Amino acid sequence: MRGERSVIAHDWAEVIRRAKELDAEAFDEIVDAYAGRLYGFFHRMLGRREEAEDLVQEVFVRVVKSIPEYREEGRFEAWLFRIAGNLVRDRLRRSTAGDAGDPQAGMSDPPSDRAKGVGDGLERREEIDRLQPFLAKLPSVEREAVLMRHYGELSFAEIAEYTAAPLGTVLSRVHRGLAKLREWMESPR
Amino acid sequence: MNDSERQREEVDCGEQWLAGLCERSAEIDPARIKRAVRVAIEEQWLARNLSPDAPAGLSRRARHAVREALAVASRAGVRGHRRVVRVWAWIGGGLAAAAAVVLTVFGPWRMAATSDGDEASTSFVSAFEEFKDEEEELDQELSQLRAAFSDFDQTVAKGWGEESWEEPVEKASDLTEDGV
Repeated sequence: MRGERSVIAHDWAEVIRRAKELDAEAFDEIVDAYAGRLYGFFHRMLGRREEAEDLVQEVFVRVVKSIPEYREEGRFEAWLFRIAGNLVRDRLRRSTAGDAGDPQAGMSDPPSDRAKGVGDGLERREEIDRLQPFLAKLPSVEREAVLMRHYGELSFAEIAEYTAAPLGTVLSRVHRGLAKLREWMESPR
Repeated sequence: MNDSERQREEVDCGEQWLAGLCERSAEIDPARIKRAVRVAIEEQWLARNLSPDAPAGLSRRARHAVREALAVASRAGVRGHRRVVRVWAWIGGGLAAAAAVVLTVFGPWRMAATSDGDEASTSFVSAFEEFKDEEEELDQELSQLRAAFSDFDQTVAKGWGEESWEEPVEKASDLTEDGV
C-alpha cells in the first residue's frame, strides 16, 4: 500500500500541473484516484449514500474552481480532504439534529455500496453494517477525525491544521473515537 | 512510556482494527462525477478566458457579448452538460459570422426563454442590433474565438468518448427543457 502511494505521488505533480491548465484527463485521474475514498468518508460521516455522492461531486467541482490556488506545499490529498471536511461541516450544521445523528442511517444501503475487499462473508457485511450506527453515535468532531485518518490518510498535524485544533486534541479525539467504536462493536449484541 | 506515546500506540492499534473492518475506498461510479467536472472545467475555462481581467486577446466588447449570450442561455433553462456543450458549439459556429449570425443563433433561445430570460435576451439582442462593427474589429476577434471554441469542443467530445464533436440537430423547442 505504501509503495503504491509513492508511485502515485511520483506522478502527482505532473497531474496537478495539467489540472491547473484545465486538462480534463488530468481531472479524470484525480477523480479515479480519490472518488472512492471521498465517498467512503462522506458516507460514513453522514450515513446517507445519495448525499455522499452529491458531496463527492461537489468536492471535485470545487477542486476545478480552486486548483489555481493550490500550492504544492502540502500533500494534495490533505488539501482535497480539507475541502471535503469543510463541506461536511457545512452540511452537518445545516442538518437538523435528528438527521445528522440518525443511528439507522446507511443501514439499508445495498451491498455493492459497502466497503469492498473485506471478504464476501455475510458475517463480515453484518459487521460493517453494525459500524454505521456506532459511527453516528460519535460526536461529529471525533467521527470526523477518525474518518479523516482512515479515508484521507491525513496526519494528525494535517487534521490539526485544518480543524484549527491543537495536535494533542486531535490525537485525543481519534483515540476516544476509536476506543468507543471498539467497545461498542465488541460488546454483546 | 508517557501518556502521549501510550495514546499513539493505542490509536495505531485501533486504526489497524478499523482498517481490517472497513476498506479505505468505497465503490462509486465516477461517470456522473466526471460529467460534472467537465461542466466545471468549461465554466472555469470561460471565466479564465472571457473575464474582463483575462490577460490577452479579446476586447472587452467581445467578452461581454459572449458572457451575455451564455447568461441568456443559462436563464433560458439550458442546463446540464449536453446543454453546455451545445452552447459552446452554437457559439462556436455563430461567432464566425459576427454579430448578425450570433443574432440568428440566439434567436431560438429568445423565443424559447422563460419570462425572465426573455427579458434579458431581448435586452441582449437590442444591444447587438445597436452595435456597429465599422472597423471589423469584433469580426476578427470572433474568428479567434471560433478557433478556440472548436478546439475546446473536440476536447469535450474526447472526454465523452467521442471521436469528434458533431453539432446536434435539434428543434428550438427542445431548448426549453430543464436539465438533461
